[in-house]
Amino acid sequence: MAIIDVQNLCKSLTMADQSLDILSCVNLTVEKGESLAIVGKSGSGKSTLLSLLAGLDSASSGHIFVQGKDLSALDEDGRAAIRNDHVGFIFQNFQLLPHLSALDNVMLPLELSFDSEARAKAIGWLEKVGLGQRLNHQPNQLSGGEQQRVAIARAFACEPDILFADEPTGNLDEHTGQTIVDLLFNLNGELDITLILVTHDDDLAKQCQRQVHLEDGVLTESLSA
Amino acid sequence: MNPMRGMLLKLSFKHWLNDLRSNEKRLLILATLLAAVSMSMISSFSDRLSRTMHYRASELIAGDLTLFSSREISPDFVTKAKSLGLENSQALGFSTMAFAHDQLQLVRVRSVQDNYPLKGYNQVSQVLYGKGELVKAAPRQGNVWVEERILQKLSAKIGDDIEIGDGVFAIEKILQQDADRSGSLFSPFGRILMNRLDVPKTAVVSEGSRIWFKHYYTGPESALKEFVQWLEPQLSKAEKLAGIKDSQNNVSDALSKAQQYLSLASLISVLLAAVAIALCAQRYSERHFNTAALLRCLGASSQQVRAIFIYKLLFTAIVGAVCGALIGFVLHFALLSVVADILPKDLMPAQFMPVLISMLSAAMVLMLIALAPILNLNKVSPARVLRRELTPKSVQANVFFGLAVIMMVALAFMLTGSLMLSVVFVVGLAILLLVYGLLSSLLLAGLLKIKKWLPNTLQLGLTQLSRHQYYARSQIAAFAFIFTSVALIWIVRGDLFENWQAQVPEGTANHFAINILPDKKDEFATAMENKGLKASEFYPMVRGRLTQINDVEVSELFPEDTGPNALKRELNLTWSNTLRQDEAITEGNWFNEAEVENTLNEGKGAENKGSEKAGVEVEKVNWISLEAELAKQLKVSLNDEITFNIAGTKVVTKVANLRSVKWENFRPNFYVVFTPEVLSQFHHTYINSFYLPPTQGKWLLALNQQFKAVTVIEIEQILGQVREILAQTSIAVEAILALVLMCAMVLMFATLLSTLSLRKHEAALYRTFGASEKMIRHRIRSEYITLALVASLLAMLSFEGISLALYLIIFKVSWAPHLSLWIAVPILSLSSILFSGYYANRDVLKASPKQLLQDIN
Repeated sequence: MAIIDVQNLCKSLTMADQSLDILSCVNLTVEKGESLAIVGKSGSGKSTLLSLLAGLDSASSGHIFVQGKDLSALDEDGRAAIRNDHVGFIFQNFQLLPHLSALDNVMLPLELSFDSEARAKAIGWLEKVGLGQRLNHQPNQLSGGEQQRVAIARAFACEPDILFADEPTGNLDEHTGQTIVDLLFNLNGELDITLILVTHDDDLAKQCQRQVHLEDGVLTESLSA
Repeated sequence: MNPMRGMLLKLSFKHWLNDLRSNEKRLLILATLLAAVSMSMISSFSDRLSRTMHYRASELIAGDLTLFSSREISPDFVTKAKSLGLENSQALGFSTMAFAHDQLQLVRVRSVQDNYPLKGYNQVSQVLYGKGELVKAAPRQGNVWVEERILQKLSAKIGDDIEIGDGVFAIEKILQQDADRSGSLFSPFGRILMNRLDVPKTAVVSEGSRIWFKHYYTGPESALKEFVQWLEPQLSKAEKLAGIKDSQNNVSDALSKAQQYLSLASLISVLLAAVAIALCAQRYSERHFNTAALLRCLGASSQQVRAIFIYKLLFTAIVGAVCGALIGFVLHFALLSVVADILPKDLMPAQFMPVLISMLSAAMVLMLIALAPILNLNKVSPARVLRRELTPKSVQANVFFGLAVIMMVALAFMLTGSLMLSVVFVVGLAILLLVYGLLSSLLLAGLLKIKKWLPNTLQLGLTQLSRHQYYARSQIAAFAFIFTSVALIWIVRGDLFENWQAQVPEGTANHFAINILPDKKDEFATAMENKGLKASEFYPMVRGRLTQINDVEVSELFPEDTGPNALKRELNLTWSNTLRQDEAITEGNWFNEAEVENTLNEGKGAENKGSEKAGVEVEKVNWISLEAELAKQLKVSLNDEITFNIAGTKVVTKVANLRSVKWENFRPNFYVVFTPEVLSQFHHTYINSFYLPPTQGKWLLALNQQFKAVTVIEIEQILGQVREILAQTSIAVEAILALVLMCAMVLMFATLLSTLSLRKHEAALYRTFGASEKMIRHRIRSEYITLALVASLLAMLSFEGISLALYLIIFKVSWAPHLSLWIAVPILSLSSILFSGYYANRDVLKASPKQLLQDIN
C-alpha cells in the first residue's frame, strides 16, 4: 500500500477578491522507503504541495491519504497527531528554536510525544550526525551545516515514516550542502524512511529515485536518470 | 499529577528558562515584578503607617474606642470587653464649683481610673506656662491636676489645697493637656483631672446630678472589631460609641489626603506596569509565532501548545509576583528605616496580608492582560514554518480586556477604597488611551501638512513616523500616557506638600486667647503689637444654647441625647458682616441687605410669631450662617427657623446660608455666625489666636498679670503632632514617586522594543545600500525627537485636563495651569526617550547588516 496517496488535490487562495489556483488537480502516489523530489520554479506551488502532504495546511478539494488516513477528513489536531506519529521535517532555514541547546532542540518532538527516553535518544542521534561534542551549544554557536545536522537529528529522532525536506541545502555552501545530502540519503536508506524533498537544485533532485515537476500548479512526473 | 502533564510542565519550564534570554520575557517579568513591588511596598508601608497613625490618633481620644453616656454604662460591657482581651478604663465627669483662696470658679472635673490614659499621654507641668512633660499616668488619690486657667482664676499654685464639693484635694500638677482631647477647647471653664476613687469625697454626685460616664477601650484590632459588633446592637440612644475615625482632629484631613495620594500613585505605577505588560506580551506573542508554528509542525496538539504557553506565563507570573511582592516587603523595611527618626517608636508590626494580596493581584494583572496575545499563539498555522507571512487571526481579546478592566477596577478599589475614584480612574485611562490614539493621528496628520515649515530634524522625524503610522500612533499614545502619569504624580505631590505646609506653616498660631473684654480689646491688641506678635483678628463671642428648630424643642427632635454634641452644650456664637476668606458658602447667599428686606416683606408672620412666643421684641428677621455639617446633623435647611437661648433671652433666627468651615486651620472657628446687629447687644467677649515662640512662654505670665480675665490656651503640642505626621507622610510620597518613575522607564523600554524589529529591518536595508552608522543614527534620533515632542504636547494637554478634574473633584483644592511643566515635560521626554532609544537600539547601530537580517529571521 502507498504511504502517501494524493487524489485530485486542489488548492486555491483568494487574494484581492480574486481566486488564485496554486495547485490544480494533483494526483500522486509515494511508496514506503521511496525518495521523491518535487522540483519547480519559485512560485510554482512546491512549498504549498509540501505543506499539504505534511498536513500543515488543508486543501481546497481532493484527498491526501497518509498511511491510509485521509488528512482532509481530519481537523488540525488530528493532522498534528499524524505528524507526531509519522512525519519528520527538515527546513531550508533549519527552524531551530534559538534559545534551546542542540540537545533540547532534538528532544523537543520526543518530549511532545511524552517519550520518557527523549534525552538518551536525542544524544544518540546527535552523536550519529557527528555533533556528540556540541550537545549544549545553542544554534547561534553552530555553523549553518551544524545547525542543519541538528535539524536532521531532530527529524530522525522520532523515527518517522516520512521525512519532508524543504530546500535542505538552500542555505548552505556547496560542500556543506553535499555533506548534508549524503547524511540525509544514508539515513534514508539505512532506516527505510520515505523521503520527500522540495528543491530547485537539479543535482539534488537527481539523487532521488523519483522527480516530479510543478509548473503553475500542475504536476508532471519524470523518472530519475 | 498526570505524568504527561508533568512532562509538559517540565518542558514548559525548560523553555521558560531559555526564554529568559529574550528582552520581551525579561521586561514581562520586570513589569510584573514592579507592579508587585509597588503594590507590596506601598500596601505594607501604608498599612503599618496607617495602623500606627490610627494608633497615634487614638492617643487623642485616650483609647481606640470610647463609649460616652449621660447614664451609667452597663458593667456587662466591661465584662465582655475583658473576655475579648480588651483593656478598659472608666471616667466620670461633672461640672461643679471649685474653691481656693476665697475664690470660686466653675470647673469641669474628669475623674479617671489609675490606668488612664490607655493611649496617649497627659501633658503636665510644675510651673505656670512652663515646659510640659508627657506622663502616662493619672492623679493619685487625694491629688488633682488642674488647668492653668483655673489656677489663674483662683490665684492658686502647686501644693495649694482646692475644695471640690465637700472634698479637699492637693494641687499636684498643672494640667496642660488632657490625654482625652474631646470636649470644646474653648469652654470657659477649666478642667480638673481627679482620681475616680475620690469622687465620693466630693459628694457632688447624687441622684439627678448632671454627670456623664465614659469608657475607654483598647486592644487588638480583631477583638475591638468583635466587641463593636457585639456592642452596637445593645446601645441605647444615649450611648455614643466613637472610634478615632469619628474624632474630629486636625490630622485626619491631611492623613486621608496623603493616603489617597499614596494609593493613587501606587495605582498609577500598577497601571504603567500593566500597560508595559500588555505591550511586552504582544511583542512576546509575535516573536513566538514561529515557535508555536514549529511546535505544531512537530506534532504538538493545540492543547499542548496552549498549555506550554500558559504554563510559561504562569511561571512568569509566579516569579514576577512572588519576587516582586517579597522585594516590596523588604523595601518597605528599608523605607521605614530611612524615616525611622520621625516615625513613632512603637510602630505597628508588619502583616503578611498586604504582601499576599499584592502577589495575587500582580499575578492576576499579568495573566489577564497577557493571556489574550498568548492565546493567539494557539491559532498559529503550522504552515507558517514554510510561509512566514501567515499570521494568526486574533482571538476575541475583548473578553480578556473586559476582565482586565474589571480586575484593575477591583485593584484600584483595594488601593484607594473608593469605588467612584477607581471606576473613574480605570475607565478614564482606557478612554484616555483611545483618545490618545485618535489625537496622535490628528496631530501627525496636522504636522505633516505643515512639515515644510518645520526644522530639518522634525521634517525627517515626521517622514520616518509617517512611514509606519500605526506604530507611531501607539508609541505617541504610550509616551503621552507615561508623561501624563509622571507629571500628574509629580505635581499633585508638590501641591499636596504646599497645601500641608500652608495648613501648618511656620508661625501658625499656637495660642488662643479667650475672654477678652470689649473694653480691653484694643489694649490687648497693643500688648500683642508691643511684643511683636502676629495675631489673628479679634472675633466677638457670645455663648448661647440652641433650643428649638422650627418651633420644636430640640429635646423632642432628638430624644435621649441622640442629637449632635452641639446641642448638649452652649455654643460659641459670633457675628460678622463679611464671609471669612477661608470659608465658603455651600448653600444660599451671604447676608444681603436686599434679601433681608424681601424676607421682611414676606415674613411678617414669622416676626409676629417670634414676638408672641418669645416675648422679645424682634424687629426683623435675625439671619444666621450655619456650618454645613452641623446643619446636616440637625436636618436643617435654608430659611429654617432656629431658636437660641442667649443669657436667658430667646432669639429666633432664620438660616440664610450654609457654610463650610476649615476646622484644621488652627484659627477660631464658629458653627453659627450672626449679623452684627443681633448679638452685639448681648454681653460678649473676644477671642483671637497668636503665635508665641515656644521659648517665650514666660511672657504669658506678664500677659496674665495685665489681663486677669483673659485665658490663654496653648496648642503647640497639637501643632507639633500634625507637623510630625505630615513629615512622615511626605517621605512616603517621595518613595512612591521613585517607584512610579521606575515603572515609567520599564514601559518606555517596552514601547521602544515594540518597534525594534521594524527598525532593525530598516537599518539592515539602509546599511546594505551603503548608509553610514552616522546617517542611521541621525534618522533614528530625528524620529525620537519628533516622537518626544508630539507625545509631550499630547501629555501636557491631557495632564492639565486631568489635574483640573482631580483638584476640583477629588482633592477639593484650587487649580491653576502648570506652566513650569510645559517646559519640564518636553525636556524630560526628550532626554528619556533619546536615552532609552539609544539603549534599545544599540544593536541596530553596531551590528552588521548580515547580523541584523539574521536577528530578524
